[in-house]
Amino acid sequence: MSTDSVLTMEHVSHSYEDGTNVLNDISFSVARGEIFSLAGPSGCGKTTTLRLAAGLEPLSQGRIKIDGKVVADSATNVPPEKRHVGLVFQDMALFPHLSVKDNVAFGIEHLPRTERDARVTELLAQVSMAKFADAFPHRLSGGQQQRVALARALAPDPPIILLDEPFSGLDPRLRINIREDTVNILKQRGTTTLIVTHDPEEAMFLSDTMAVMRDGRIEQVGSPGELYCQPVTPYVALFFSAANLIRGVVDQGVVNTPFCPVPAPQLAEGARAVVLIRPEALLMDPEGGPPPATAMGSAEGTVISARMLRHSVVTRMDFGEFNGERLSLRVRRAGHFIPDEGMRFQVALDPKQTFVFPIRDKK
Amino acid sequence: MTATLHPGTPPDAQAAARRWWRLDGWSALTVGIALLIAVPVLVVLAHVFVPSGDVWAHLAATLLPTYIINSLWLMAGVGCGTLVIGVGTAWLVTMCRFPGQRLFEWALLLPMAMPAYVIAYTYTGLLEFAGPVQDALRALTGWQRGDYWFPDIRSLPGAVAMLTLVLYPYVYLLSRAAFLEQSVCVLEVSRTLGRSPFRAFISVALPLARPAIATGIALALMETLNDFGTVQYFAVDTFTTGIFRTWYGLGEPAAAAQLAAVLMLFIFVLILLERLSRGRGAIHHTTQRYRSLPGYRLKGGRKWCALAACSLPVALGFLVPGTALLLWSVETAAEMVDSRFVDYAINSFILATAASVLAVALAVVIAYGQRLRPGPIRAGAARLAGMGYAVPGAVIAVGVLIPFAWIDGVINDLFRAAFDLEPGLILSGTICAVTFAYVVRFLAVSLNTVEASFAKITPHMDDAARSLGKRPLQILARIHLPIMGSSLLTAGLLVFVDVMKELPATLILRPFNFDTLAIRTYQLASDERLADSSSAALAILVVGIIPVILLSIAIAGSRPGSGKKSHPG
Repeated sequence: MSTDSVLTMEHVSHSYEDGTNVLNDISFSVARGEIFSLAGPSGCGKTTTLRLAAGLEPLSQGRIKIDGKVVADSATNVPPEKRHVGLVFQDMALFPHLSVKDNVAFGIEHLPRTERDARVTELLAQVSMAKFADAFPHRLSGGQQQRVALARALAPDPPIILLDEPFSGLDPRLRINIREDTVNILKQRGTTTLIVTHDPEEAMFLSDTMAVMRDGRIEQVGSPGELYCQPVTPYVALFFSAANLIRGVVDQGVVNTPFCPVPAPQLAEGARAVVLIRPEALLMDPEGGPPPATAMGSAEGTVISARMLRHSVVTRMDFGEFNGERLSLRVRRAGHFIPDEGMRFQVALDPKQTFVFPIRDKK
Repeated sequence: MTATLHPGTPPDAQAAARRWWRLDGWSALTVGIALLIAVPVLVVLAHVFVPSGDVWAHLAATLLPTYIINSLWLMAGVGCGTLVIGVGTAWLVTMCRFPGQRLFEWALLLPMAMPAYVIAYTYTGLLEFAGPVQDALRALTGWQRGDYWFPDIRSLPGAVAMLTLVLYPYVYLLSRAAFLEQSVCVLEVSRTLGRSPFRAFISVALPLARPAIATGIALALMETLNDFGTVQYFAVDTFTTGIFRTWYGLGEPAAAAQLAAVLMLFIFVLILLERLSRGRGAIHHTTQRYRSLPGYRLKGGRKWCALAACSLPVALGFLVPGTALLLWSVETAAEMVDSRFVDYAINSFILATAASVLAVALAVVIAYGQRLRPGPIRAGAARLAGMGYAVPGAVIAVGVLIPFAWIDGVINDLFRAAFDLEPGLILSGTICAVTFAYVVRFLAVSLNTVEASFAKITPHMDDAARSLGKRPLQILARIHLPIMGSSLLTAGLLVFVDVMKELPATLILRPFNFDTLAIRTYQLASDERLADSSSAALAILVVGIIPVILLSIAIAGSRPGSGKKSHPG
């Protein structure tokens, strides 16, 4: 762990009164200036983790440090008003009876007036809300409210800012612009940030480091690229997108597929395994040209159906019987070509988007 | 923006409940308030075990059966009356279209402003032998005294009629709300399955609204048991008059408290029945689709019948007595509205203001305590503190006076022993006692409003403010109170009006010679000076209209899918 980490969680576990565990031995640290995201479906414990860091939830087990100081462990519990972390919620939670200016100034009232005003002006300029300084929150659009909420959280210059699904409440078309602006502002200021999100694309876009959570545990931590290209569990791989699954058995270090044998070097001989193939790893060329150099092998399939989406066409193809089950796989291809039902194509396999995982027997 | 919680947010309640056993300062405060509020009821119930010997034996043998039978008849009559009028008008106004239907939506609430004793006095004045109705009848027919039979309003059926006229709005209000919440789709399905509009009402709408109707009737019956002015004036002996007489006439506080305890038994049964009907009738709407209500356009005879059915309660419950009061007070104002009248008004104002400020302040403490750290102790305390609304004023009065008089006695004994002087009745002889009784009875009113208002503020607001360095009390002062301003005013106003109208507790607990408008109305009416009492009664009525206006504004557009706030959050 880096010595210059702003937020550190060590072996944090958390459970409710009725005994349900929401967090199970979570450890991670957020380095200074880094944007770190906790990603996972709702109920995986990511929001609880954030609330524990903010002090909004009492800690059951483990230790939390901010800026090197212990803020929560079995003996300590620094209340939220003394932790000096910034918070932004999905619903913004702007104070409706205060103007934009006063909302931003709320956390820095201890500063002398001139300094406070200067700070508010500077922050509002940075989030491009200077001309709304005297407006009241209900007059603002969702995106504008979001900017004010960010400015309000940044005003006291907290060592770390915590964002809880900050963009989920926004119009999808606005969302992309606003999250780009937000990343720019956070990076410009060098603000250390912890973001909670259920949206894999958002997590990838925003983070320097991301952690995928599942049922109160962290499955994998790393850069978005690492997690996407080298997922350590099927759960992490499937978090980013749905994928094709082919079940098989490890035989002489490989698992067989209709396309080619896929190497499974880490797996024991004879172990049951699943090959996970992203739809974009199945390469289909309507022109019938030679397969790309990176491809590992190919097989012929029949088109069952094809649907045009925004950036690609998703085709479901039948590859006949394999290992005693009918194999129907999803193929994603950029462009606008929509194949007809019943057409037959040669489909090649890209090994970079193909992963082999052992099948663990259910307890 | 409406308050939307992220689904991943763990309910604060759960986390907080884990430490419910930790009795910190705020919990202690909440529990303390709740216990204080519960004192009168506890005192009354405790008196079940105090021997009162012959008095009780005498009461039980002679008067108690009368009280019970009269109370049961009153409840049966008022129950049926409010059911028919309340549900019937609610159905007509929500589901049918006829001339004046929009007007009736709020006009049907007007009788709520009329205290039962005021309407009782007014109708007595109108219907007595020398009153305008019988005068007109005699002038028309040439009959003389004894030539004809005329119903006596001062009777049990008369009391049922009076109470029904002013209490049906409870049932109207709740069943209307229930009808509005129902999905029209369900009704339409039942019609496509071959039900006529009326049959659909009977077989679908009514059962769906049953819990709400039951709650409305329970409220009306609690008010019936609480009534003192009407039954006392009509000489229908019930528990409230019995408690009053046993206390003052016989000078037997213990026996009065025992009567009050029996009355509480009736109240408990009512609460129990209401809970039961709600529990079993907890019907979940299976569809979230709301469409504009069907609005059966009534024609011909039906139109006029609907019009009559809705006008009658408004006319009899508000317009007729209101007009009579107005005419009488114009007639007697020169004589009756003098400096003493102003004193009565000021006294009413002082009591109502003191009680509403206290009730709102305590409600804020209790509700904020629950928000800071929800848990069974604080929630239980809040429910306990809100129970007073079910307890009749006469019961609370007895339950307040007994312990306050005892404390005063102890204080006087101490002072006599130590300083050889008697400070007098510090608690029981001042407005302390009566104000405390009001707070006990009406805290629920302010608590409901304040709790609803807190619930509208997203908890993220508190979280954000805390992370910006503010402590809980600062957040209350800087965030919650400013946002809730108008709701606090509403809460205070509701308590204010209830206090203005309150009669039995005021009568028993007010300081010597400290008369209010309600007391003045009661005294003049008791002296058969009905016309003279009208100015004070009218003043109460006018103030009483305020909450009716607030209520009708609040329910306008409260229907899901049709109001301004149709945004589903």
